[in-house]
Amino acid sequence: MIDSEIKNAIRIACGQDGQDDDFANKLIKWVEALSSKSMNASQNSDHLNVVIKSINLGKDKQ
Amino acid sequence: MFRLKPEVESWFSNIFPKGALKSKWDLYYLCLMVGLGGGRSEPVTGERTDMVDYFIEDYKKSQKLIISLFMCAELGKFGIQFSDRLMAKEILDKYLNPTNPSFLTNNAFQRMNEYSYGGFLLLAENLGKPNDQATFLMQYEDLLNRLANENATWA
Amino acid sequence: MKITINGWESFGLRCPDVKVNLLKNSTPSRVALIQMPNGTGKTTTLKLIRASLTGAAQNWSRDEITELKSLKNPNVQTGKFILELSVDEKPLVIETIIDFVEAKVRYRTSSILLGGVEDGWRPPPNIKRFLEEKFVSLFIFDGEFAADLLDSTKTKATEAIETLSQLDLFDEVVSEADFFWEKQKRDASGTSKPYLNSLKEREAALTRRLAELKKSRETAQNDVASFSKRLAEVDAQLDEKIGQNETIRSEKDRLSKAKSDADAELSTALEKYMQDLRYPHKLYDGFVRHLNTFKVSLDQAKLPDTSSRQFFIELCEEINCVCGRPIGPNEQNHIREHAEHYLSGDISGVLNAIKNDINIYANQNFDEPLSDSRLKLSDAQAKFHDASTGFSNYMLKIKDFQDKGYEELLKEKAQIELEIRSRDNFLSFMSAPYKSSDDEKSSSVVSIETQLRDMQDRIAEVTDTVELRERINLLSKIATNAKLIAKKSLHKQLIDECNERLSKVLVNSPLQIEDIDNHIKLKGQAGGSVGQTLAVAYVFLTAALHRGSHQFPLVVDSPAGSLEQLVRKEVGKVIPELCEQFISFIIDTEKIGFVPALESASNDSISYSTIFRLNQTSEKLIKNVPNENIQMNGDSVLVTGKEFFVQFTLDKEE
Repeated sequence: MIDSEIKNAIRIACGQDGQDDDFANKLIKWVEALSSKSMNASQNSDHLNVVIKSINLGKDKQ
Repeated sequence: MFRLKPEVESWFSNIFPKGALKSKWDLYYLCLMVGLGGGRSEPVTGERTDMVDYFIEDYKKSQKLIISLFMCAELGKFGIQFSDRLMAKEILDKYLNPTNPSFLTNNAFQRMNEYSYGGFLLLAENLGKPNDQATFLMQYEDLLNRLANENATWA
Repeated sequence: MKITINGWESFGLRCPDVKVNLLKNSTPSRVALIQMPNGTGKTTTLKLIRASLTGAAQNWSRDEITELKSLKNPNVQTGKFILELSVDEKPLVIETIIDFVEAKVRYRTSSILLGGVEDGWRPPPNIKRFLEEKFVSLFIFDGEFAADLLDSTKTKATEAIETLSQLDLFDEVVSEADFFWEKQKRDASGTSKPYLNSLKEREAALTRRLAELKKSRETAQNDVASFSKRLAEVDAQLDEKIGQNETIRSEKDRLSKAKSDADAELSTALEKYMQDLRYPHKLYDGFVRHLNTFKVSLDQAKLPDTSSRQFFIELCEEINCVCGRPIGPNEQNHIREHAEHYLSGDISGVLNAIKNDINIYANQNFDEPLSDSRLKLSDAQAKFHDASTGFSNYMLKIKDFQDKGYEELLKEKAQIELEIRSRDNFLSFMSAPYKSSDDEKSSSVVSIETQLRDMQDRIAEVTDTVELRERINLLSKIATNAKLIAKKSLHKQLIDECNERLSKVLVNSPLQIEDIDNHIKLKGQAGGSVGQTLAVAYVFLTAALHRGSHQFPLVVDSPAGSLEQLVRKEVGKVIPELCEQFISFIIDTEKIGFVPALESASNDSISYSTIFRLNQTSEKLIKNVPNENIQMNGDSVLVTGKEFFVQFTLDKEE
C-alpha cells in the first residue's frame, strides 16, 4: 500500500508532463509493487518495461 | 539451417541453375570449401535465404567428410590439439548433434554458414562473374588449391 | 499496520534478569512507565529492544557483544533477550541469543505465519520496511533525537518524513530506470540525435543511388531485350538466305551437328567433373592429409569410447558392479562423476560413422582422381571450342558466296552482339557482391542494397536506443517532479496537523511550525526552550508516524528529563492522545509533574514498573510490598504498582 499523497503526486506530475491517465496508472502500479518489497528482478523489469513503453514522448505535440 | 545469401545466387546467375549446377546446395558447397580452404568466415547478417537443414542426395556420401573438414578448420583456427581428450569432447559436444539428420548443432550450422559466405567473398574477389561453367569450375579448383596451400591450417 | 510491544524478558545480560509484562487484560496499556535508576541497564535494555526489531545484532563486533555481559556474573556463557510483540493483533516473538564464548549473536523468530519457531530473524515481510534502522529510530529514541529535529545543521526532519511517507520510492524509481538503461544500452557513443540524423542522411543518399542504378539497369535490360529480338530476326534472315544454297546448307548442317555433338560431350564431362568436385577429398590433397590426421587424433584420444556414458549411468542403478563387487552410494557417486568423461552413445555412433567414411574415401585411392575428369573436361572443352570456331568461321567465309544483303546482315549481327556483350558486362558489374570498401558511390545494385539494409538496421537500432534514453529521462523527470509535489503536499498537511495539535499542547506559549525544510522551522523565533522543542518534536513525530493509519509504539528514554515543570505537565497530558502505546524509561527525578499528567490523560490505562538491583538501601524499600507485586531473580528486582513507583527513590543515584 502506498499513501494517497504519493498516488496524487504521480497523477499531477504526469499531467504536468502531458502524460495520460493510462500511463499514470501503470506507474502507480509499479510504485505500489516496489513498495511491497516482494518483487523479483524479472517481475520488476516487466513492470518497468510496461511503464517505459507507455510513456508518451510527445512527438505528436511537436 | 543452411543459409545462402541472395547475392551469392545473383553472382552465379549466368551459370546457375543449369548444366552441372542444379541445386543451391552446389553453390553452398563450392563456397563452403573455399571458405574452409582459405580459412575465411564472415558473419551472415541482413537478409538471408533459408535453404534446408539436411545434406541433399548429391552430398549424402560426402556428408561426414564435409563435417570432418569443418571440424579440422575450426580446430586449426583455435589451435586445438584433438588428442586432448577433454578439449575434443567439448568440441564434439558443441558441433555434433546425433539427433539431427545433418548431425550438426545450431552452433555448427552458424559457423558453416559463415565459412560458406566467407568463401563466396573469396571467390568474388579472385574471379570475375562466371559466364561459363567449365571454365569457372576449373578456375575454381585452381583457386581453392592456391588458397588452401597459403593457409597454415592445411599446410 | 499496528505494532505493539507486549513485554520482554532478559537473562544473563548487563540489564537485570526480569520478565516485563506490559499487557493488561491481554492489551498493552496506553502508557507504560519503567522506572530504572541510572546504572541499572536502561541503555542495554533499549539497545536490545531496538536490535530485536531491526535484526542488527547479527553484525555486532566482539567488543559490542562483550559489553552486554552481566557484570555480576562474569562466568555466564549465554545471554538471552526475548521481545514479545503484536503485529495487527497477532503475536510475534523475537529471541536474541548471545553467545559470549564465541562472541556471536543469533536470532530465533516465532509467529503464526511461520507456524512455530524458526532460526533467524524472520519477521513477516509486510512489516520489514518498518523495521529498517532509520525507521525504528523514529519511534525508539531519547530526548536528544527530538532536539535534532529542530537543529538547522541536521536533516533529521526531512529524513523522517521521507522514510515515513515512502518518498524514497521515487528515488528507487529513478535508480531502477538508470539501472535498466545501463543494461539495455548497446552503443553508448551512437545514441545521440545528431548521430541518428547523419545516419538518416546517408540512408537517403543510398536510396537515391539505388533508384539511379535501378533505372540504368532497367535501360540496359530493355536494350538487351530489344537487341536480342533484332538478333533473332537477323539470324532468321541469314538462315533464309543460306537455305537458298544447297551446298552451303548441307555444309552448315554438318558443322552445326559437329558443334552440338561436342556440346553434348562437354556436358557429360562437366557433369562428371562436378560429381567429383562434390567429394572434398578429391578437391585438394591437403584435405586428405588432414582427414587422416583427424581420424588418428580420434584414435589417440580413444574416441569414441568403448563404453558410453549411458553404460555407466545404468551401472549406477545396479546392485553389483560387472566385476562382482557391490555398488554403494560412494561408488554410485564416483561412477556418476566419471560418466561425465564419456560421450553419449549417440555421438559415439556418429563418430564411428565419420571414422568409417574417412577410412573408405580418404585412406585409399579406391577410385579415379579428380585430374582424370578434369583432363576429360578440358579436352571436351577444346573440342567444343574447335567445333564452334569451325562453324563461326564457315559462316563468315560463306559471305563471299552471297548477295550484298547477306554481308550487311552479318555486319549488323556482329554489331548487335557487341552491344549485347557490353550491356551484359555492365549488368554483371551491377550484380557484384558487397565489399567492405564499398560506399554509396558503388555501381553495384547488390552492394547498394546491402548497404541500405545494413543502414536501415542500424537506424532502427539507434532509434530504439535514442528513444529509450528519452523515455528513461522522461520517467526520471516525472518521478523527481512527483517527489517534489508529494513532499510539498505532505509537508503542508503535516504542518497544519502539527500546528493544530501544538496549539493544544502548548496553551501558554503557542509555538507554531512555519516550515519543514531539512529541519523543523518555528514561526517567529529560531527555537524554543529545550522543553518546548521536545514537545514540538513529539507532536511532529507522532503526527508523521500515524500517517497512513499505521500505529507504532513510542519508546522514549528520559522523556521529561530536560522539561520545565510546566511543560512536563502539558506534554504529559498530551502524549497519551498522540499515540496508542507510550513506553517510557524514566528515573525518579523525572516523575514530578510528568507522571500525574500522564496518568490523568491515560484513562487509567497505565502501568508502573520499577526495576532495580538489590542492595542495602533498596532492600529496605521492599519490606512492605505485597508478594504478588514482586519478582526477584538473584539481585534483580521488579516491582509493579503505582504506590511503590511513586515512592521509589534512591538517596544516591549510582
